[in-house]
Amino acid sequence: MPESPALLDALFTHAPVGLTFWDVDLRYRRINEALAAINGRSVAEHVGRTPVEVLGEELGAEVEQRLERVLATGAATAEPVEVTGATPAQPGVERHWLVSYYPVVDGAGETLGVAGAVIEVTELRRVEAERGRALKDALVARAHAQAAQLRAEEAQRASERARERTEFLAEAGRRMATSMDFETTLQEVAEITVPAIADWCTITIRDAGGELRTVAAAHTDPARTSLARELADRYRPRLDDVAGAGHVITTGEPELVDDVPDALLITAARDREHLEILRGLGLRASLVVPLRTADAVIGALALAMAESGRSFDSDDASLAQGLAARAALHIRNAQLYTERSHIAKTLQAGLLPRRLPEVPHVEVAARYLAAGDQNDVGGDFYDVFPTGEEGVWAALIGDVTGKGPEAAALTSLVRHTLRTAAIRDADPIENLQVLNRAMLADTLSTRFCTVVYARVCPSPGSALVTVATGGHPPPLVLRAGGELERVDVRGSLVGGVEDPEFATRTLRLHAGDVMVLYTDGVTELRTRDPSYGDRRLAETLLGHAGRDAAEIADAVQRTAVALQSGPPRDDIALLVLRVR
Amino acid sequence: MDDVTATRLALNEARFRELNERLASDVAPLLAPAEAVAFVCECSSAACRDTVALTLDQYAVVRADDLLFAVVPGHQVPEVESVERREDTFVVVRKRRGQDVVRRSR
Repeated sequence: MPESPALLDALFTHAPVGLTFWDVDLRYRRINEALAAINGRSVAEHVGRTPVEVLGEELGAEVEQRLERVLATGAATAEPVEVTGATPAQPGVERHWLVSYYPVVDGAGETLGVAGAVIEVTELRRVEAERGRALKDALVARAHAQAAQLRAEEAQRASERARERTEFLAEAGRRMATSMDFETTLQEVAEITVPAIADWCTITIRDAGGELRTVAAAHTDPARTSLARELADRYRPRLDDVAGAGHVITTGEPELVDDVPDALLITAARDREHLEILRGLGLRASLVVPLRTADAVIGALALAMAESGRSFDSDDASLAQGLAARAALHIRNAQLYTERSHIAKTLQAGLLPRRLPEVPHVEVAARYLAAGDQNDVGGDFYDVFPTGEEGVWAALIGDVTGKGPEAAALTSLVRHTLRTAAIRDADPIENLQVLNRAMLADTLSTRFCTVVYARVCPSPGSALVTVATGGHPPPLVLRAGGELERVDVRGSLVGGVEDPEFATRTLRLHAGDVMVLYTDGVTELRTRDPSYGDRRLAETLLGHAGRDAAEIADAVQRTAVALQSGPPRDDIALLVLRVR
Repeated sequence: MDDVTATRLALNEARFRELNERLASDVAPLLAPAEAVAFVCECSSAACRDTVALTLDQYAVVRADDLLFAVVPGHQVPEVESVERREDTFVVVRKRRGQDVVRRSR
């Protein structure tokens, strides 16, 4: 076509890609504006120069190598090659181009030179690099997020395990707090231990005689629990055992066997049958920790894993030791409580007559109900005894302020002072004065008491009674005919002041008449009506006119207990005298 | 430290190893030569959020041995592992306990 050269010129000049032609000497012969701009030189600055002369030593040499290869082979580049480097247009700035080289041959087959097409891809490569960095950063971030998730899950599991352990210990503590009967509570503790932290659990204690006794055993299978108890009875742990509870009680050190070897069973077994039983348990791991108090090892908590296939870790060991510490404290507290209760009961018994005397012509009945903790001694008291005067008896009832050892000591002082005074003189006022002086002389005591002292002179079918009261509710008299009288007598508290005032009232009781001496625990109730207790006492007595002394005493006690909305706040003591 | 705890720690570390291996594989085409990657510290601490910077070549040496782990200096647990090698930015530890778990998890 005649217009072909013009068309080619137009294409060459205006193509959006760089186009050039080198001769066989590798000199630019023609170059379009686009490539000239890429290279940062004018078209004129290219023509007649080599790539090294235009592009510089580094990039120019690379281009020339490629041109030489095309001239040598006569073959075009199979695909565009990427050339990277800096041009004089932007020295120091790395740029990227895709370049195609192809030989230019005339009609006779002679090579005229090499043509090149250049496309700048610097921006494309920059975008790709940024995308790569972003992708890499995202992959790294994902990995770290997954790691954080794994670690958070592990922390969550650890936290959950810690929470479960705390709850377990709290529950064990609650069980142990329910009772001072530690053998029962420890059995409950053993039962909550399986399967929460072990397959088997036993608790062995060393009793006062040094003997070891397994007081709790548990497994989720009741038959296996029975087997554990049977084994504990039959092969009782011993302090010279080489392993297990006896060994731990002796050494005071925890014992963890993570993979129970048969050799250990052989060593631990007492006989052939014992060995076979032990083997049959399929024990996999065992953990025994001492029950330690401040001054002794009092037992051992033994845990074992078998059919579950579990083993113990350090957290389990810590948990077992925490449980053992609580159990040891509980046992010690229970033992101290029991000891204290025994002391209190013994002491309390010493504050009351062991048994009531036989008073001629008079039935005597007494009731006593201690309020509150059984360790609280002292408080109310009563007594009946012969005075030093022939045929004259003393009946008294009283209430020492407070509870506990000091109150008990004072109760003892009151009772024995009155007994001693009554040997010399049966006069109620004189004896209350003696008691008042004795109490004031007891410099260790700031307490006082209330007392009713009755001087009783019984005879067939009647009794002459002289009553003095030291701040105590006066006795009631229930006549055989059903009338109820309050003995009208008043007096100061005993032990409160140096010059107390006491008075007496003398009355005669006839056959069937009853006199009731009582403490305020009988009538003082948790009610807004202060006279309600007195009225109920009166009703009870009137309802039992004609009954014997014991029946009346029982009835009054029942009423007093029934009137309390809960456990009695105050001791209940009463003394009933009925003339025969 | 008991075996169960050692095993649990080893299992944790093996999980981080898996994450790092996948990370190495994923980022390999995106890296410049000798470019370091911020790998997950392969220690067993639940509180650790640290990274260890290794090139893929350095990491390849660690991952070539099942019992080697890359951790931040100071994150090694002497009860279960020994220090095999110390570098500027990381420590290579060798697992002594819990190996079975590590190997099983591979």
